[in-house]
Amino acid sequence: MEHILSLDQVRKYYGANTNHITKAVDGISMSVDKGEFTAIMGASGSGKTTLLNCISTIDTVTSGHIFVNNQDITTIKEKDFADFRRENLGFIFQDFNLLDTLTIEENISLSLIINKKNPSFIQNKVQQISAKLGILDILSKFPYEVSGGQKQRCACARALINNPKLILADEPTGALDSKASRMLLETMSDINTQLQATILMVTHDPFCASFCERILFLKDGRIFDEIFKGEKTRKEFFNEILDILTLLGGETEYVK
Amino acid sequence: MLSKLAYRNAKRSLKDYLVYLITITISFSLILAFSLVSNSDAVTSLSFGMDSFKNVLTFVNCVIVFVVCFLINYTTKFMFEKRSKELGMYMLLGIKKTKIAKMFVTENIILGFLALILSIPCGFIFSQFISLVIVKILGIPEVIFISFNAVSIGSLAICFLVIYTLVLFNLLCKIRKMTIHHFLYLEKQNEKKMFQSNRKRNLIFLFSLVLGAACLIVWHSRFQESAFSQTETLTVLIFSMIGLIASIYGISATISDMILSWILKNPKLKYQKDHLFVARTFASKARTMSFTFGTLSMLILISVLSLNFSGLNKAGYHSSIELEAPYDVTLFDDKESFDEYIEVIAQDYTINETIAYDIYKDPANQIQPLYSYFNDFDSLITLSDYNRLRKLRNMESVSLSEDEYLIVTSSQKKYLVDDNDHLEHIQLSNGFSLHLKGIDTESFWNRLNSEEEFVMVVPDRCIEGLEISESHLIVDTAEETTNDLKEKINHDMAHHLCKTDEDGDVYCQYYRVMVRGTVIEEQNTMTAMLASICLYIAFILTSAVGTILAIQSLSDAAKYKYRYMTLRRLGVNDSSLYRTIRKQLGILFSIPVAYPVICCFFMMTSVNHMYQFVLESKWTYLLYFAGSLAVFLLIYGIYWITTYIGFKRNINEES
Repeated sequence: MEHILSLDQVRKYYGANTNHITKAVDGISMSVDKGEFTAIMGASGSGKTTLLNCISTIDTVTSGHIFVNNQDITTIKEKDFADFRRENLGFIFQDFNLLDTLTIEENISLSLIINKKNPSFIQNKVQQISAKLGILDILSKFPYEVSGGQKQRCACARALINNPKLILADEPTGALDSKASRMLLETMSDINTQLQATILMVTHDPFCASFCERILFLKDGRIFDEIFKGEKTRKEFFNEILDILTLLGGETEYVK
Repeated sequence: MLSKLAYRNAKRSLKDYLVYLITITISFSLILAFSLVSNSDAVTSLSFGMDSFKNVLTFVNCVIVFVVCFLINYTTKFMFEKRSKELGMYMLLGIKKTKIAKMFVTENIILGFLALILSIPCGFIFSQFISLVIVKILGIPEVIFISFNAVSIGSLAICFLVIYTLVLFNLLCKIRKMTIHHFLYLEKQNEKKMFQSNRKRNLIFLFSLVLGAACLIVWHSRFQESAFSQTETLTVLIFSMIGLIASIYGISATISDMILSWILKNPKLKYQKDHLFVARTFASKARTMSFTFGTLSMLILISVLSLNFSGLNKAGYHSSIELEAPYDVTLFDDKESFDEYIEVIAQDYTINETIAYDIYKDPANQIQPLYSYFNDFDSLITLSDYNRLRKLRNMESVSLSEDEYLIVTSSQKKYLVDDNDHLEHIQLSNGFSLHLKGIDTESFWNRLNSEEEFVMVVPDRCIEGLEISESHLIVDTAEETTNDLKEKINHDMAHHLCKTDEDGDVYCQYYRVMVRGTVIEEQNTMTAMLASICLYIAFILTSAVGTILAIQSLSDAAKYKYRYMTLRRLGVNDSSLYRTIRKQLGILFSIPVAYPVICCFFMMTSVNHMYQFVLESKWTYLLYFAGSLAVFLLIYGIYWITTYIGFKRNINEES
C-alpha cells in the first residue's frame, strides 16, 4: 500500500534554550496509507495537536522527518509552504475557521479560486460536493446564518474540494452537539470510503474515534498503543478504545 | 476573489472601526482645513503678520502628521492582531504570505482612501469655520470665503502618502518576520508585561515621581523675574519638559499596576461592591498597556497645555496692546520734526490732542545699575508731563511733595527696585534730595522711555540743569488708527527716520514710531494664529487618545462578551452591569489623564508667575485652566460616551 504520510523520529521540544525543556513530541515514527481514516488520541497535553501542527506545516519540527506524498516537508522553504498546502492538504478545525465575510459557497470554492480553476468547473465541483454533504440549500448563506453542524460540513466540503492528498482534522466535533457530531462523522466515513480520501483526525472523544479504521494513542509525546478496527463492529471497537483509555488514565467522561 | 475579500473585510471593519474612521477623517479634514486657510490669499492679506501663519502651520503639521501616524499605526497593528487568525487561515488554504499582506494593505488603503475622500468636503466646511473664527478675532466685519486650492489638496495627499507609507511599511516588515504559527496564535498572546518584578516597578515609579517633581521645580525656577530673561532659560525649559515627559511615561506605566496590586492585596477593598471584577478586568489592560498609557498621557499633557496657552494668550490680549501702544501714535525723535509728524498724521486723521514730553538724564546713575549697565544715567520725567500722559489715559493725576519722587516701571521688573533701602533717599546730580514715594507699574508702557524699563517721576523743579535724553511725541486721534498710518509715516518721514552712512548704506529706524492700529493688528494676528493652532493641536491629540481607548475597549467588549454574560447569569441586573461598565471605562479613560493634568496645573501656575502681569488678576489663570480642562473633558467625554454606548451594544449583540 502507498504511504501518503510517513513520520520518521519526529521530535518537537519547547524551551530548548532554557533549563525547562518540554518534550511535546518525542520521537514519533508512523505512517498513514492512502485511503486510511486514522485517529490520534490522547489526554490533554499528550502532544496530539503539536503533532498535527507539525504535519500541517503550521509548526516546525525540532528533529526528524515528515514525508507527505513522498515529499520531505521538513526541508521545504517557507515561501513554498503555501503551494504545498494548497496542493496537498485539507483542514477541518474544531472552530470551523470559515471566513465570515464570504458565503458558504464562496468559502467552499476559495481554494479552487486560489488555484485559478475554471469558473464553470468550480461551480460544478461545489454543487457536487455540497450535494454529497447535504448543504446545497445553504450555499448562498453566510456562516453566521447557519448552524454549527452545517458550518462544519461546509468546512469539510472546503477541505475536500481540492482533492487533497491528506485531510487533517483537529477535534472536528469539539463544538458540535451529539446529533451533529454523528452526522459529521458519518459524512467523513462516507468521504473516506467513497472518495478514497485519506483522513488523519486528532480527537480525545472515543465515540468520534470509533468511526476510524486505526487509532494511535499518544502519551507524553510518544506512541503508547495502536489499535485497528478490522472486522469489529463500531460498538466493539468503541469498548476497546475505552479499555485503552482506562489504561492511559484518560478522559472517559467524554463517553457519549 | 482577493479583492472581493479585501473589499468585504474593509466593509466589515468599517462597522468595527467607525470611531477610528471618524477620527482619521476629522484629522485629515483639520489638516486640509488649516492648509486651505493658510494658503488662502484672502486670509493672508487680512493682516500683515498672517503670512507667518503658513510657516508656523507647516511646522505644526509635521508634529500632527507624526501623531496621526502613531494613531493609524496603533490601530492598524491592533486590527492586524485581531484578525491574525483569519489571516493564518488564508495561509493554511494556500494563499501566499505576500498575497495576504497585499490584501491587508489593500484593505487599509481602502479605509484610508475613504477617510481621505470624506475629509475633502469636511475639511472644506471646517476651513470656513476657521476663517469665521479668524475674521471674528481680527474684528473684520465681512465674511471671508475660503476657496479650494490645489496646493492644499496636494499637501494633504502628501501627508496621506507619508503616513500610510510609514505605517504600511512597518506592518509589512512585521508580516515578513511572521510564520503561519505566529498568525494562528498571535491573538492568544498578550502584550508583554512590562515589569516582571514589583521591586523594579516600585523603583521606576519612585524615580519617575522624583524626576517629575524635580522637573517641575526647575520649570518653576525659570519663571521667576530674575531668571526668565536669561539666555539659558529656553534650554532649561526644554530639558525640564523632556524630563517631565520621561516622568509621565514612568508614572503612567507603573501607577495602575501599583494601585491594582494594592487593591487586590486588600481584602476589604477587593470584595466591596464590584471592585474585584473591575480591578481584574482592568488589570489585564493596565499591565500590558503600560507604554501606551505613557504615550496617551503625554498627548493629553500637550493638549491641555495647548488649550491653556490659547486661553492665556487671549486673556493677555488687551494688556499686551496697552503695554505696547496705549496711545494712538507715539514716537521719539528730534523736537523740531514733531510738527512735520503731526502734519502727516493730520492728513488722514482728526487730531484730538498732542503731548510732547522730554526724558532727562541724571548722571548720578543710582537706579540704572539695578536694571543694566547699558546706560550710565537715570531717566527722569517731570510730574506735570507724567500727569498729562496719565490724564490722556483717563487715569487720575498723582501728586508729589517737593522732596518726593516716584519710580514707574514694568510689573516684571518691579522686583529690581522693591524693598531697596538705597532708593528710599536719593540725591540727584543737580543737588536735589528726594524720598521715594512709591513704585507705579500701572501707568508703565514700553515706549514711555525708549532707553530703559523705568523712569523716575520728579517734581518739575528737579530737572533743573539736567540734559534731555530724548524727546517724545504722543498723538491722540479721533479715529482708530490702522497699519496704513504706520506705513504712511514710514514713507513720508523717511528723511527723518532713515540715515545714510559713509558707505552709502541706508539705515531706517522705523521703530521710533509706534501706531496703535499696527499693534492691534499684530496682536490680532498673534491671537488668531495661536488660538486656532493650539485648538487644532489639542483637538487632534485628544481625538487620537480617545480613539485608541475607544478601539481598545470596543474590541474587548466583543472579545470578552462572555464575562458580562457570566455576570448576568450570576444574577447581576442590567443597571448594575452598566454601572460596572461605566466604572471600568471611567477608570480606563481617567488613568492617562490624572498625572498630566496635575503636571499641567503646576506648569501653568509657574507660567502665571510671569504672565499674571498681563492678566486681570493673579488668579485669572485658574479660570483659564478650568476652562481648558472643561474643553478637553468635553471632547474626551464624547469619546467616553461613544465608547460606553458601543460597549453596551457589543455585549448585548449576542448575549
